[in-house]
Amino acid sequence: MARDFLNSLPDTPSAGQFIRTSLDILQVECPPAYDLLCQQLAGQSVRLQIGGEALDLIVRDDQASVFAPSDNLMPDTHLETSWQTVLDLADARMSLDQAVLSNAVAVKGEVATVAQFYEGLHLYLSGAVRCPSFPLLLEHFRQVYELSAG
Amino acid sequence: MNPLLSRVLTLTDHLRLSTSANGKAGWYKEWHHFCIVGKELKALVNMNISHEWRPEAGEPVQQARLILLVNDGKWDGDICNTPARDVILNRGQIGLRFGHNSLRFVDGCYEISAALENRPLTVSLRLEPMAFPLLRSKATLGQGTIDWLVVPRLTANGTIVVGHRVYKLENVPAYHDHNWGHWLWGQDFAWQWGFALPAEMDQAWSIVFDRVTNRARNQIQELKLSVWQGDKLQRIFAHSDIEVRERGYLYPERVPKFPRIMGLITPESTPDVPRTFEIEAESGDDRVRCLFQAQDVGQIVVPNETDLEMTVINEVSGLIDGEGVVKGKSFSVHGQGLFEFLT
Repeated sequence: MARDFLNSLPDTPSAGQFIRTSLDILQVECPPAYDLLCQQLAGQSVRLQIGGEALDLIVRDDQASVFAPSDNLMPDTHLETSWQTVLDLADARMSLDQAVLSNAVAVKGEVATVAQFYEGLHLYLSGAVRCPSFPLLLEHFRQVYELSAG
Repeated sequence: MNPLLSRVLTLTDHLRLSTSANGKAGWYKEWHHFCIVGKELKALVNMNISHEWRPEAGEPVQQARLILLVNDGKWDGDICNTPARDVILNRGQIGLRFGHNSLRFVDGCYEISAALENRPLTVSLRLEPMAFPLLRSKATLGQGTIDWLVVPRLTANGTIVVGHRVYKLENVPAYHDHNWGHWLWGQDFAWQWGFALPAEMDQAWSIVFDRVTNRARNQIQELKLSVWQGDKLQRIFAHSDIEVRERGYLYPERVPKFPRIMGLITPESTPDVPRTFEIEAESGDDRVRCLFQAQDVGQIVVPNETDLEMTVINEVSGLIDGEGVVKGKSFSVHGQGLFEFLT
């Protein structure tokens, strides 16, 4: 099962591919978390910028989809961070509070939509830790990132 | 090495790998758990298997995990999964291998060899049992049952390496339990479990406490305090014999979570752990009083199998002061303890 998701992953750190694959994994391996995530973020759009790569996460019709950033979209929430911060958070070298307070993770938006996004992120992570394929995905991107960062 | 004790453990502490459970086969869990409580360092080694029961997670698989945690001033360690192809389980024997990590029972002693892949932490230990086990069958746990076996007292020899720090262990007190059964994390249960071992191994007494409750911790399902002198179980106090008093809360500077990624999901830094935990047991002419003073906590965070919440197992290290009279003999136990508070 895990290999199906990981067969065609790129050998450069691609935020779009990471998020897209992780959502595919979540939908198949932990549908309750995926469904709740879609309910939580229904109708919302999030502009994610990870390691300089931007993408739009749009949730509609019970589907969370990733697109190239569009000038026509006014995202409800913006989140900007780096691959290093993603790994620091995953490895507990930094807490999410510390990351936000130090601007390692920058979040912009109305308070209500940011709060909704945070709940969605919590559901995403709660599902991710239940997915057998997720550690392999994270490990792949860790290796790709570390290679690219030298 | 006591040949009778070795024989008893060979016959009782083997891997069950039970499969039949009235449709609950997918709930199966089993682990071997060891705690080493030295003055400089405490260590926890747990090799466990559990069945992946959610159909959406793909083909049903048996998950094998190593939990390797140490505390030599602060908690370090991790939880590692081993792919099924690298797992060897010897049903009916005390022996398993998760990749390069192994547990064997050789000449009446447990031999553990384990190393984390992603952190500089290795253990190579030989643990000699010093007391006969206590075996409990089919205790209710949530909507399932758990069997357990406790060896309250072992001596550990070997080496633990944490980063650049090398600890040579010589006759360090240790504890072992083995649990197996069918239940799901997230069902309506919680436990408090701990042991007291004297710092000096020539002191003969050891104590194990267990309390199983519902999740809200207002209904006690099992409550026991078991006391050994030397290698022999001398007394089991139960239920109405026992009073437990919890005082205050432990407020550590930080609460490390394992696996580390769980810090993102359960960022709380105030564990639901009492600062002191006092147990008094009395029955007939026998009585025991035991005070556990919590010092530090690390959390193992387990995803519930019943919902999207988490179960937190607080591994709490601290000091034990115990004293009592059992079968006309007075004793005291001063040393290290490790308690688990499940919330």
